[in-house]
Amino acid sequence: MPSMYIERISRPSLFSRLDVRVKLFIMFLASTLIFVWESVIYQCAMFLVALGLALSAHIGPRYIRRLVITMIPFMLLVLLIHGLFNPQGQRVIASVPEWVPLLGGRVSLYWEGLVFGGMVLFRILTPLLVLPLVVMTTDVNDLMLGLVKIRVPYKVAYVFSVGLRFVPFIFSEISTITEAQRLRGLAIEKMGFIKRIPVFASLAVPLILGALVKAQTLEIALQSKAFSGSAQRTFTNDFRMRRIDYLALASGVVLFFGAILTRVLLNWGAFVS
Amino acid sequence: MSKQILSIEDLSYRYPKTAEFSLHDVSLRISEGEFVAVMGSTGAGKTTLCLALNGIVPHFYGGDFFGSVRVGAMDTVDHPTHELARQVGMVFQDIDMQLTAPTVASEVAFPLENLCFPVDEINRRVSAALEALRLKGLEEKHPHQLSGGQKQRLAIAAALAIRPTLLVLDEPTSQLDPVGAEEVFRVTRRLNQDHGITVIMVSHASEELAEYADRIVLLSRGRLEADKPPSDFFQDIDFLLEHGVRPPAVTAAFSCAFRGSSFPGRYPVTLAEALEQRASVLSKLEAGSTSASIADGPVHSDEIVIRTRDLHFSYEDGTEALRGLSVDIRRGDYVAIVGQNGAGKSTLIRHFVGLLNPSSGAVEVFDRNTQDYDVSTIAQRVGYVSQNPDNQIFTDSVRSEVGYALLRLGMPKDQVAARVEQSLEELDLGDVAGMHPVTLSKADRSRVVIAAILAMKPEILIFDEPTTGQDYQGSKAILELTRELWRAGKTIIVVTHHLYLLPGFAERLLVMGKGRLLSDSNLRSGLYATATLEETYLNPPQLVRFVESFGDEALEKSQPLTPDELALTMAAD
Repeated sequence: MPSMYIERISRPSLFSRLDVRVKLFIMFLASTLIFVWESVIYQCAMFLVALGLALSAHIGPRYIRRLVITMIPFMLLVLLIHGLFNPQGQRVIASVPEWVPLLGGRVSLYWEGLVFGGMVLFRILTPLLVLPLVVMTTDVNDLMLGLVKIRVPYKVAYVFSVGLRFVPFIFSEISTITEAQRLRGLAIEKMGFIKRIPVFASLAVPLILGALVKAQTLEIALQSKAFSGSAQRTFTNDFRMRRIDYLALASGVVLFFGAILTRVLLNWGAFVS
Repeated sequence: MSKQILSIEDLSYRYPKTAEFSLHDVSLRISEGEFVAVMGSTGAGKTTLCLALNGIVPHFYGGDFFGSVRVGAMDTVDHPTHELARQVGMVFQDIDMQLTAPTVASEVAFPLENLCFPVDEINRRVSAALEALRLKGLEEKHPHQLSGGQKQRLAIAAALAIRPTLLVLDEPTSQLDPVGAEEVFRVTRRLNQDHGITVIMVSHASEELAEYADRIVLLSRGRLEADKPPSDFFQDIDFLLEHGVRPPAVTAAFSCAFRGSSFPGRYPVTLAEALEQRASVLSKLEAGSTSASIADGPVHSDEIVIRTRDLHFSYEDGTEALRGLSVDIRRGDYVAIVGQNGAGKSTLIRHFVGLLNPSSGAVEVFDRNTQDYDVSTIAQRVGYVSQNPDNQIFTDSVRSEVGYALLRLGMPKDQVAARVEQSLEELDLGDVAGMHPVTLSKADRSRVVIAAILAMKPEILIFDEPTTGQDYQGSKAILELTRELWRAGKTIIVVTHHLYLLPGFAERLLVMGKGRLLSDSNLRSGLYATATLEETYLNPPQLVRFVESFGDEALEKSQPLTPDELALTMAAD
């Protein structure tokens, strides 16, 4: 049976024990600094730190591999487009030979373009790695309450946590529905891309209807449990910051402002190739 | 006279943008400590009535609301749902969506937190509620790690922790297996009898309600048609059937047996009552003559269409679902596969269409190993109707749905059209061919899916839990359809845990338990092999238990399965 819930890492780690607010701050930090810096070296360092955190938090290499593999076509495309057409391009790595009609001698792959493409990739991959790092090491309820503690309206935080609950539901629905299509004799795996489009499009009908019905059921269940969206309620698991949380928070703040100041004043982390 | 805690006066309600009223002039009063059951077919207004008790109707839906609903001193129109939630605890049919927290303890705490109880009080109540529902020790578990019965008990614990005036359960057992359903019934009865909790329960489980409820209310097309204690409620069988309610098996049997002759007193509604009245049955038996012959189905061909040999299957997490299973299905069989959740029924039939491949052993369909073809190829000869029709409907009209796959398989249009028309006709869907499937009832949506699968002209049809979540009429209609298909020459395989529905339909019974085949026999001896059924936690049908406890050899020997058969045996003996 496909699980109805987001995979959660139950093995404790230094990261998973951090206060959820600190985790959210780290997520924010990593996702913004990656945009502050334009240097692939700085970005790569940040990405490696995120990767190290993910591994230390027991997010399996399997998950990371899946993330990378699904991104490969996209990554190649980004590198190729920037390598070929980015205006930063100066140093030629390779060119289409003269004898090729039309393109010969006109299209070249540039080193600077490739580096720029790499920068774009780090900006996408890092947040994609940090978000699951937080989501998978935190209870959905803790996450919601953490958001409330940093003044996100309770209703918004709840909707966010419910959204997280729905992600795996949608995936399990998709697998049930594609199974139903195979049982009607449709060999989706053997179809070409063009033929697949209408088949996938028809997934939407049962998927959306099912999600709407479930969302309404959930809303009714919540209201019946006296949920009104008001922050005026009791919180049984109150959060308390420990020394390690303050330490992590302080280093994060120093890193954040340090990075911005050095970027503005000393131009550290500027684009290099 | 105990305190009245619910009073509904002339309640009429219509959902927005609908022409029909879902409830018509319903009036109902409930006193403290009562156990009131609500019965009726799908669309009778049962859920709407439940939702009116905590103000979801009309606050959440809008629509036209007339009359009044008062819970204690609160009028539901004047108070929002989150305030009424303090008085009315709700438990729903959808076991997964109603659980919203990451742990068992926080699930129970959630409504208490919303109601601003102090932390100490919350902890005390969570502990007490988990104790009462026997969920102690599971506090830190994720709700999805629980069994179906435990999940539903958790939902009851969460409702109960509020200490509501009224506990409302809307079909709490319809998605559960027999063991889970029994857990929920037992616990609800204990809460009502030992703790004095007032209960309103919507259910189709006639036998259980006959035993547990103080009163049963019948809703039909939004109108309250009856409100009586069970012993009165189940007397008028024709009236009940007319409104889509199945009477307890013993009541139906007595009413059949004494049809035409006057029965001294009232028909029994529980097994215990039926056994008390054995004297009257005995006199009837003595009056009879020769033994009844109960016709069994025709004999079929010897051609084996599905064969498994020493089939083993383990899931990725190591769960051993099938442990060496060998079974032959012959052309023209009508096989029912029964067994407890986790017995391996679904795992087995998923092998028949290649959705799963054996860990060891082999499955052959039409003499070919399933591993040699893919699902879509097998699916053209073996139709598989999975449980939820809504995951299997892809288009916006019944007609296009039936032709959906055929067109994409590249069949010429005129041929598709001919097959679609034939399929629609076979399933009696001609009148609704142009309609959107969503506007049909659940039973009819299942028919649409069956029609679509039938259009491929499969020789074998497999139905996975076709009666789960269907009311009595819906279940009957689907089973009758399987019977027609069987008569037309198809091989039918049905997986179910509703044993009482099988007589008159299935011929052969495979009983599974813990990944093994416990027995393989004709339906009659299978249902009378009560020890085997109990081994896989299935309750034998009430009629079988009655015959068994009756202690009459002749009766036991003839093994009647339906009220009619029992009546026939009694009359003939």
